Amino acid sequence: MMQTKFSESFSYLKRQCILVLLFCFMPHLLIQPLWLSLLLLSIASYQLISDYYKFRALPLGLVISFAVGALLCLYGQPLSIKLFISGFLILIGFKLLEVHTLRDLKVIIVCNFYLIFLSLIVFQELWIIIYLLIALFANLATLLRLTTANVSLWKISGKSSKHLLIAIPVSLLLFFIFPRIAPIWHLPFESKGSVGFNDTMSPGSLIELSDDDSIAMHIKFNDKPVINGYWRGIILTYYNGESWYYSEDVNRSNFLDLPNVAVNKKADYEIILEPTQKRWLFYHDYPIAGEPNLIFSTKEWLIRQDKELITQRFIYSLKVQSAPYKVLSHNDYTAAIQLPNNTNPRLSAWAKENFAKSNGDVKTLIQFLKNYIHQQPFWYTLTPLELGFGKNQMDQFWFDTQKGFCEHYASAVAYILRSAGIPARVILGYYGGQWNPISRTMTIRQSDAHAWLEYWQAGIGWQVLDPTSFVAPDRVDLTIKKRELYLTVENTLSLSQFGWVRKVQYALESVQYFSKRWLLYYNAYSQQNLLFTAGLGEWDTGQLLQAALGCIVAFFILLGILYRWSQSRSQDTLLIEYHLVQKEFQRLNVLIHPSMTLNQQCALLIKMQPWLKPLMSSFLLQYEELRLQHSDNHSLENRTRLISLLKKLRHDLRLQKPT
Amino acid sequence: MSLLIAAINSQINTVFIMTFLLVIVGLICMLETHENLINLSFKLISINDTHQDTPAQIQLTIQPTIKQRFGIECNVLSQAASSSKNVTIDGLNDYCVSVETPHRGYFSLPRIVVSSSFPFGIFRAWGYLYFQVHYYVYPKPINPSFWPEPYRIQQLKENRLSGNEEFYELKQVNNPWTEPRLIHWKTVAKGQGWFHKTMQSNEADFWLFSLTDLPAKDLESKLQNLSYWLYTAESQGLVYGLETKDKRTEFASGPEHLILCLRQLALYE
Repeated sequence: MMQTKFSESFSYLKRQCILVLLFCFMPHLLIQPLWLSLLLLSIASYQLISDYYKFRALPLGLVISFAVGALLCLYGQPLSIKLFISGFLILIGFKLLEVHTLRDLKVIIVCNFYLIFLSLIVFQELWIIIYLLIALFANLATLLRLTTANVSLWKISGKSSKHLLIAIPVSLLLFFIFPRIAPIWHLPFESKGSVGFNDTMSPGSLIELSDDDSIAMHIKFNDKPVINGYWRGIILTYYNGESWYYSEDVNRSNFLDLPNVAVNKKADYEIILEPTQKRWLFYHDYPIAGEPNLIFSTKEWLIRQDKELITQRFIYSLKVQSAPYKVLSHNDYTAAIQLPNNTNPRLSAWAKENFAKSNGDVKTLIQFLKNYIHQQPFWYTLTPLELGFGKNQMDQFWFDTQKGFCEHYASAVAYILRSAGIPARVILGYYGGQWNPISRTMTIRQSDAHAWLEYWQAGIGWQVLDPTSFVAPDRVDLTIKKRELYLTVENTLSLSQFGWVRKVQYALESVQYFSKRWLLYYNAYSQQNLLFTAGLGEWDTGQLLQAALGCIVAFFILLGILYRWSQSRSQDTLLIEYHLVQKEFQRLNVLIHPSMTLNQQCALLIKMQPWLKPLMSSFLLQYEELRLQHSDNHSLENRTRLISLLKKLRHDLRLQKPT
Repeated sequence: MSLLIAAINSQINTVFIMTFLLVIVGLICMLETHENLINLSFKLISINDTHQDTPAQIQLTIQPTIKQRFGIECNVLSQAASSSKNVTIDGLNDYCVSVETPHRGYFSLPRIVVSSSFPFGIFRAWGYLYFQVHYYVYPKPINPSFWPEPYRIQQLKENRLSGNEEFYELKQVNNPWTEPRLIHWKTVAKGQGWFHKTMQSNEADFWLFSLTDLPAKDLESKLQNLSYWLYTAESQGLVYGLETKDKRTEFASGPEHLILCLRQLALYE
């Protein structure tokens, strides 16, 4: 009977453990090979079904063969975190097949914690925090169930929730103050992410621009926001007739370290950049200080100091100013007017002719180009006609097709300017974005990727020129037009002008942004800023570590005091008084054994100090009368008299000296 | 610790959050484990004598001063813990702790360890219970495969039952020499045949179990055989006594007498 009862209870626990494991595994379904997910699900299902129908366990040999086979399937795959997770999942799967004791269930729960950890490594989105809390709750509840049989699920849930609710605020405090120490070794994280454009620009080769609406970056402005700004990424100086490209070698280029932004001087903006698999970083204006360590090349590239690719979400802050004027060097000038020979003869002649008509004045030529593009049947479309291969693509675009997107216009106008002898270069980056007036953030999506150009004007420097914006609105592709119009209107309105639905939407987006910013993207720089804002100044790693440990100790002591206090409130006052009397006995060198009765303790004391016999006998007589002879010896009056009696004895004993 | 190292190495904030959550839950768990065990009052209800290899059962009541307790376990020395129990605010009245009894004798109740791993089984808190009570472990009853001869009636009559025994009938027997002391010599002398005297009641059947009744083997086995005879005699309602070395009990029956005899066996040296 007992055995059956235990078996039922074990089966129940086992089912709970397996279900919790499946929940912890859920995020991995999205990234693991299908066969592996199916394998784990089959094993879990087999366990659940076999437990219900009391099937026999699978033979060990078969289990080992499956495990080896599954591991062999992983053999040869590139070394990555995904591979480690796959191996771990296989091992968990086969551990599931041999769950026979409570200890095995505990092992499964430990595995669950590691599954959660691996999910956190792979997914760094806001929903993972919800998953984390639910998964921790489920595992704690299962652990609780293992140690307490016959307790209702409601009570178990209440206990687990209580633990988590107490832990959350303290954990958050620790999270904010624990020092962000540099990694000890490099983990082979899965590379992900992309950018809305390539390292080179070949306008003729694309017949359709992708409309990827995923987020490219968030920009948080500390002071004045940049609405509809140009966010520079890469500068393409060289043109070979088909593509614009850069020739700078990252390892050879001359980079200058950007000084760090002082903690007490806020950066102008902070960018949360999604993984791009590229080196370059985006910026607006001219960076003069950055955080974390960034370098800025004389060719106006902004990259990380370690020159690594951006394979994970990267947060950086910049302090900027207007670009200082610097005379163009001979080499830069040559590169900026370079054009391949025998290309686009019509456009080249047209450019020279019109520059001459403009009397060699750059501004006049620019104005002419603006009017020309606006008036001529140029179309801004995401699905241009193919220009084909060859060295006259720009001729074809400018005079024949006249349909294209930003890359076509930037490329053609840069070509025109260079043909006229005006230094020009193409810039790839992002333009615009959606402004949230509550969070004061700009959200830039991959669909905001843009190409424009800069031309050189002596005495002023590089000037931004966006020929795409010159296209007449009625010749802009409807989808682009709608989006641009929408963003233009949205970004110019103040918060009070929005309807409540939009306000709520902005508020939710702001909550989402701040949650992400302070939970997912919190870093050492944010930590220093937070401490500075809180008026605590700058703290080094040692101080932060001490503070974190101090918090843990303080929390532990505080919680201990609270427990103690709650216990002392309910402690029996008679028992407290009895313990105080025992302390007096001990002071008088009476060796008290835990199982000794009061009578025995008194007898020992009398033996050591015989002159106390009358006192102790009188006490014992009264004590026994109150304790034993009264029918209602638990009454309040009786207890009060007992306490008084013990107090009196304690008082009398205090006058005695130990022998 | 492994999670903390992973958090530092991966620089992933959610891993930091998870690590700190588990650390704090661990600390709370440590205090809760302790809290679960303190302010519990234990009362010993009884501990019964037992015989070898049958665990002695200690009956306890557990009463918490405040709130319900979970997963309370008790065990003695290094023996397996009793099943964990939850203790409601009304207390637990029938908590039973077993003490293994591999040897016979008279024992003081050893220290009882009260423990709990509540809530998550990560930490274990324990305390000790001391009770100044004793219990006997009797020799394990083992059947020696034969039953001893009844105690001599004459001797009985002389010693303690004289005047109590009245004959009410004579029973004719074929072989009177099986019980020569019961032969009714008067009828034999008259040539009326062989008769055995029959006692007035069953009380006339007396057994004195003695170590000397048993064949020569080790002492413990003899004691175990005696234990068997005592249990059997008691269960059959016989009148019996026990003789060991220089000690002999009265002839009697009943549970108290059985305990007296068994305790004598338990203490035999």
